Amino acid sequence: MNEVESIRAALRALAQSETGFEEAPASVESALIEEFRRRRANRTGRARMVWGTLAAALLMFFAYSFNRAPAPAKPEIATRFFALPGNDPFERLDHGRLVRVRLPRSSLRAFGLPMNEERAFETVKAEVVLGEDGLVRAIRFVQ
Amino acid sequence: MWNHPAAPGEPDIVTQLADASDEDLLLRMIRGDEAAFTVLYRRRQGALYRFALRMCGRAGIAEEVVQESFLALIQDGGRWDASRGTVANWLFGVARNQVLRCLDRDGRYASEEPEMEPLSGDDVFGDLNRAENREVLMQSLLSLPPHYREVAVMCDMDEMSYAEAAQALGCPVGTVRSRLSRAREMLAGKVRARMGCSL
Repeated sequence: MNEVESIRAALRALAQSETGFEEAPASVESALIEEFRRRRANRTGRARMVWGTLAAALLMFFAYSFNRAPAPAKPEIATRFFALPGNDPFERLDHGRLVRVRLPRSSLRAFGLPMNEERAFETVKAEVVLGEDGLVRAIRFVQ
Repeated sequence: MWNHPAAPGEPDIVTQLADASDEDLLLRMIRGDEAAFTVLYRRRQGALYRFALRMCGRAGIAEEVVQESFLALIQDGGRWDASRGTVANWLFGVARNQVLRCLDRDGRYASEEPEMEPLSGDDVFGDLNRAENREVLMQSLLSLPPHYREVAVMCDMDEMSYAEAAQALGCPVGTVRSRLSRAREMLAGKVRARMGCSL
């Protein structure tokens, strides 16, 4: 047997003489298992927190989507009342009615109000005052 | 030699997992199975401990290496890639890096040459197999540079194949073979010098 082979055989014999006796002490296993449990608990806690946060976010989203209050109506702007020709603007009406109607935009011109000619084919909102006899007494335009 | 027998009286689940492969145990462990971790630890810790002890010669460092290696498994076990080797070799690779870190930290790269009593007779290498001379061999091994020492420990003492050692060390098989050849030659020279004999 040459030197190198002797070394190899001696190393193997040395290893065999140790096998079964050389191991990490039990305290290492205990410490590692403790660490394993700690990390598992942290991971479970983190996972619960993430799912909890997601669930809360989803609940808030659905609550917002389904229970959302209607958007507040835009305040309307109205012109003054214009008396229709043939009517006394100072006539007192005891039982008149106010009716919302849509009129051609071109009717604005009849009361001296500015009008966009390009939108003449559209309609505008208006409120008419009906007297007790059912005739229109006055009108105002609403935007 | 890599298998650690199950301890008597351990929980049933640990006994049931005794036949599971390392890879199955790792997958179960990642899902939080403590018994799988316990079985994997008991199966592999001895080999890692002996490897570290032979590399460092100090039980304290060997314990530290085992602990750090399995902590890495707990923390990064999910990154294990089957295409790059077995779980056992992955663990060896981690342990090897831990050993080198400890050696670097403790400044033990420098060769130690303790005074030894010269042996009588010319059959120096034959005497190495005697128990009283194993310390000479161990000290000579510890004085090898780490990258030669580790291949001698893995291949000659732990009986790993060249391929397994190459996986654990992250180098080609040819490198393992050439380093091992050089390690044996260096070891023979150191033993000869320590014993104060010339052949």
